[in-house]
Amino acid sequence: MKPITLSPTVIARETGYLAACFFVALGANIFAVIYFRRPASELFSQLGFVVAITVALYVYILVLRLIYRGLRVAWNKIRTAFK
Amino acid sequence: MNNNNTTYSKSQLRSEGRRSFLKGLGVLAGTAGVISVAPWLSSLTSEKQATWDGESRRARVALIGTGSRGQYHLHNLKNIPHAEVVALCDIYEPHLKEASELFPEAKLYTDYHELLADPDIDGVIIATPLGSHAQITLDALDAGKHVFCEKAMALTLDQCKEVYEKYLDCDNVLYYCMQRMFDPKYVQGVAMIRDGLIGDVVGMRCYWFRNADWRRDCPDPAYERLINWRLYKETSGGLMTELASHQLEVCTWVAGKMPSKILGTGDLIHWTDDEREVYDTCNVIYKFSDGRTISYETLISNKFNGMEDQILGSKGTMNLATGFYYLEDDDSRSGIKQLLKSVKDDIFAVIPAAGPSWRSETADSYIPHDILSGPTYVNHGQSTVGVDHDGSEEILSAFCQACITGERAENIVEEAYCATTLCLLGNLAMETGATIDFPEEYKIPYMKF
Repeated sequence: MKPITLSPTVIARETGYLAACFFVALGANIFAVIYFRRPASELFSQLGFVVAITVALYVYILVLRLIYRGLRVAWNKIRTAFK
Repeated sequence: MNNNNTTYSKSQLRSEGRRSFLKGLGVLAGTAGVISVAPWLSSLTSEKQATWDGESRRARVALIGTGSRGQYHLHNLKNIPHAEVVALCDIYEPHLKEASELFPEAKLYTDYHELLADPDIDGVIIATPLGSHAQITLDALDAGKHVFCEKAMALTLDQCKEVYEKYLDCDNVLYYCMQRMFDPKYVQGVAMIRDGLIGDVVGMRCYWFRNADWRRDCPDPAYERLINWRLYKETSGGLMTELASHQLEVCTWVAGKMPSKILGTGDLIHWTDDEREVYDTCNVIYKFSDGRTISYETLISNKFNGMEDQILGSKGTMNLATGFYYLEDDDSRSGIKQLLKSVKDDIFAVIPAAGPSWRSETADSYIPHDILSGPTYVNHGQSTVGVDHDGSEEILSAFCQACITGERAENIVEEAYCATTLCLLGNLAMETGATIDFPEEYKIPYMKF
């Protein structure tokens, strides 16, 4: 089996996606604390939940990206076949 | 949350056994307005307790009816230091023998009239079949005894009225074993409801489901109607008087008023292989004058739902039997969880196939909160005799105290009267299929409609 290697570019891109997801989840937590008038301690106590949302968001976006990539590859193949 | 005044810890209520529990409840009675919620606890305030703690006398009590429930009381009496069981009475000798093994020093009687003539007895505990409650209670009050009687109050409305009038005419103590009135989670739960925790009470829903034939082993067919008295109308009001009486008492306690109309349906649909006469399935609706209802359901051929006493409020639900309450808009969730729920609800609300009604409105989105902090004793309703920590021992202890002090417990008899009349009218509604208006002749001044 061919070993999977991740290039530094891929690692940087995925880390970027993960960081973006984390900041979105963190932002949602900050918004929720303000909007629902919860104690500020929830900024820390709910970090586990923020991490869980981060992972869920990342996986969700990953699936969307894979679908997009699959469609693009399929479209290119179809376009090449009809040329 | 507006329940700070009436939030009591389990350790406050039950720290070192029954005596401490009563003292704890008494302390609460003096400090937290419990008396306004449960006035029958007034004899248990710290001040009252202090006046009789020094008493060296013990209440000399006798038990009439030594069957399963009677023996349950005997076991509780063993834990009550200010009680002395001096006599036992039953017409069924095997039960009397079993009971005498628990209290060998007690005098034995087979005729309760002879027992009532004994001047060394302060109070009697009546745990006989329902059909005899009224007559024995009347005879005991006439004999000058204090009385603790099992629920329900009587088998007929006329008997209820007769007993109530006798009670008003004498000075004796009369207790009915409505143990939920002494169950800490019920007392606190009702206090929380009165404090407005669940908003306006908009309805009540109680049910009790069992899957058992309700039949006791009978060694001799000659004793069938004596042993299995619950199954026959001449001695029993069926599931309504045996089960519903407890739950309906809670409903009127919470509502502070009586339903004015009763309608229902019931039948014998599963346990049809014997000669029983009482229904095994009952559905009764009690309607208050303001339109609110008590929805009551019981059957003994399926136990999936167990037993619950649910008080439904505009801001939450109090489930007194399980010791939990649930809030409609629960702000105890963290902000992020509330945000996610809000997003989820909005998403489901706009799914065209599901329609807006498919929002997560049901129990899965509710958070259970303890009525009492710490572990709560829950009766799942399957025992046909009684369970620990359901208030039975406490109410019996309070009665024994009353035998010494002679102090009546406020409203216990009235609450028993209300609950029993509702049970009997429920039976009448089921049997006739008619909507029953609460009869004028059975109303008492205590009742508000």
